[in-house]
Amino acid sequence: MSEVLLKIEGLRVAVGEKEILKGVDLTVRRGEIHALMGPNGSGKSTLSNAIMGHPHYRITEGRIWFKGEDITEMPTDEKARKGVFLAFQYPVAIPGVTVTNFLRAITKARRGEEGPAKEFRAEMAGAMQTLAMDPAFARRYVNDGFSGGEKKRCEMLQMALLKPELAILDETDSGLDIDALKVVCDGINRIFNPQMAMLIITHYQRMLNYVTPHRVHVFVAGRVVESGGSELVAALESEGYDRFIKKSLAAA
Amino acid sequence: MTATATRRFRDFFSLESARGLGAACGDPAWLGELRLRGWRAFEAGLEASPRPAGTRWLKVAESWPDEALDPGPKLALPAALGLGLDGEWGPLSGAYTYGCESEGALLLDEEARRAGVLFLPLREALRSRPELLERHLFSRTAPEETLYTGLHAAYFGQGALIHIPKGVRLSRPLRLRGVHTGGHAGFFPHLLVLAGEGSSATVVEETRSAGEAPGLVSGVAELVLERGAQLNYISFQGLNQASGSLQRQSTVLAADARLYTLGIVAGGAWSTSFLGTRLDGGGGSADLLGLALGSGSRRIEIRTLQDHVGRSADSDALVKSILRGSSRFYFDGVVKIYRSGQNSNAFQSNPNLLLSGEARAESVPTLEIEADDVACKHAASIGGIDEEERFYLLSRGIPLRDTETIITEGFAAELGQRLPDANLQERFVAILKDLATGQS
Ligand SMILES: Nc1ncnc2c1ncn2[C@@H]1O[C@H](COP(=O)(O)OP(=O)(O)OP(=O)(O)O)[C@@H](O)[C@H]1O
Ligand SMILES: [Mg+2]
Repeated sequence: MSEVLLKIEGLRVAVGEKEILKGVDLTVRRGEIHALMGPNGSGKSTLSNAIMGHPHYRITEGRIWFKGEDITEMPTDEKARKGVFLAFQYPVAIPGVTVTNFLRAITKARRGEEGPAKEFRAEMAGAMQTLAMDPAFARRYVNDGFSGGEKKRCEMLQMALLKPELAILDETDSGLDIDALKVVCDGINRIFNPQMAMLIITHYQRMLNYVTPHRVHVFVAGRVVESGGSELVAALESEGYDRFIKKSLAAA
Repeated sequence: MTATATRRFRDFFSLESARGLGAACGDPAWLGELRLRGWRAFEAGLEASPRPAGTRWLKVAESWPDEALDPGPKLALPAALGLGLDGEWGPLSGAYTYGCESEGALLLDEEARRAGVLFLPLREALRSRPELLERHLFSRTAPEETLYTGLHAAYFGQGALIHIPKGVRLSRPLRLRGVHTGGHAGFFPHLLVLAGEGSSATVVEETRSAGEAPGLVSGVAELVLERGAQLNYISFQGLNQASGSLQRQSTVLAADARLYTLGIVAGGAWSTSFLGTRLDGGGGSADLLGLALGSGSRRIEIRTLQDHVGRSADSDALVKSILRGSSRFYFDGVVKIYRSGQNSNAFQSNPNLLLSGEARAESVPTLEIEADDVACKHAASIGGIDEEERFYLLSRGIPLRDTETIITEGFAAELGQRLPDANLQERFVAILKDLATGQS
């Protein structure tokens, strides 16, 4: 079996006084695509934010390991430079900072050096083409006034340039129309390679029809309640979360 | 500070010395009269108690007449502020650099000369184009408006006249650079821009200090835009930390004229600027942009006035501040739409970025709307670096210490992006970014 990229053990996370993650265990290996599915408010975004180190999400118990290193308390920017990437469910706007300048700054941070401007522009243009993005986007401010779907493409554009080892995609499919979903999923498949792993958070089978997961996890009330192969996706699509919610209640 | 050189600010001025200046300028009778009006307004202002309706930081300015100060020896113009048809604002069509008591030197390129552009030191203009000055000088700013416009009217003589003839479109900016060179506390630059019908030009006006001596700059800019004219007017105040600044900018737009104005306050111990715009003709538009950069204990006030007289005109004020140290910023924005100003759009926005716990900003919007079919909107915000924005940058690997720089640069860059053409945008975005992070 390949190397473990992400290992989460007994992770408990609180927002304010409220506990949201109640003991999450998850192991993701290099070369794998995992899907995480669960009802609204079950804590999926909390998990992704906690992995990335968002200050509002307080880890009260448990550990997060990346390539064998404990990153539970590692500063966010350091994790990112090491190759952890989160595509946000709701990306924020950075007014006044153009997409071009932003991409240049983040690739420089990730790679530790600023390559020739010409090469960078070519690389950016190539990635934008892959994601069927209008070149005019490069001059706009990051996420400022972007439509929901445009924001998601912009997240994928960043992923394409940062070449992370672990990418967490938090509902990248939401806000995309049917054609855009196909374009973005094609892009994801092209970016994916056996050296990396992806954790895809989604509500729908449609994305997983394009990007085939190796493992699927059902996430209910702050925990992974069941894991399996892609047959779980079909089961969820037809039955909903009922059975899993009961199971989680029984376990609690 | 040498004890002998220290005097009170008001001791530098007298009716006799104002008259002497008038004689040196070769004042025609109407101008002598104007100086006298100014002097009377100044004296009346000094006596008035409480002070004439002023605003918050203007009160700081009101105490200046009693300030004891040493204006230091008279300095030469620093070479770095010299003349050339190039510089940080890019290639120029014209450049004029002058000291507060010297005529300075002026360059104007062939293109502008051939097109009939007038770019003249004010004293020369008084001699060669008295008819233009008599008609327009102090037409937008009355000597009686404040104590300091009074003093300005009594003592002005420095500055320039710019006249862009009908239909002339200047591709490169004209730059004025007024420098307080010490020796005397006051400096009174006056700029009169007459933008002829359908003309287009960019004017950059800088106000700087030659050394460390305190000075008080009371500047007036009067901008007259005729039908369909476009004027981009950028003012940059980069005085030393000991000086105070009062700037009054008054603009009038005829029908379909377009004004873009950007006022940058980057220096001085205190500074108060007024950006007034009167949309007289219908269909015009005015973008009033401002950036206040506070550090140390600097006090900055920016006031805007969007006066909608004509119908179907648009105005948009965007005034930002970036505050460090224990600096203070006060914004007072007035939108006034007269009954005749139907179908107008007037927006006003004042975001303030506080980069220190001791910095403070205050925002006071006023809407006076007499017309009923108009769109008005105002917004203000006061706060530090947005935590979600910062987290977004961190999540991409940007080191913590760089997140503030990037967000602050972006905050300032938005103003440059609002200027009209791609060249100006690119140039100003770069300048504003540097200024925002204290790199120049
Ligand atoms: N910053 C926060 N402040 C307060 N409550 C929060 C915060 N973040 C998350 N929560 C709460 O934690 C719970 C889990 O939210 P989370 O966003 O993780 O759910 P989710 O599974 O991603 O839902 P969805 O499918 O709707 O995206 C919710 O009840 C939410 O209101
Ligand atoms: Mg979510």
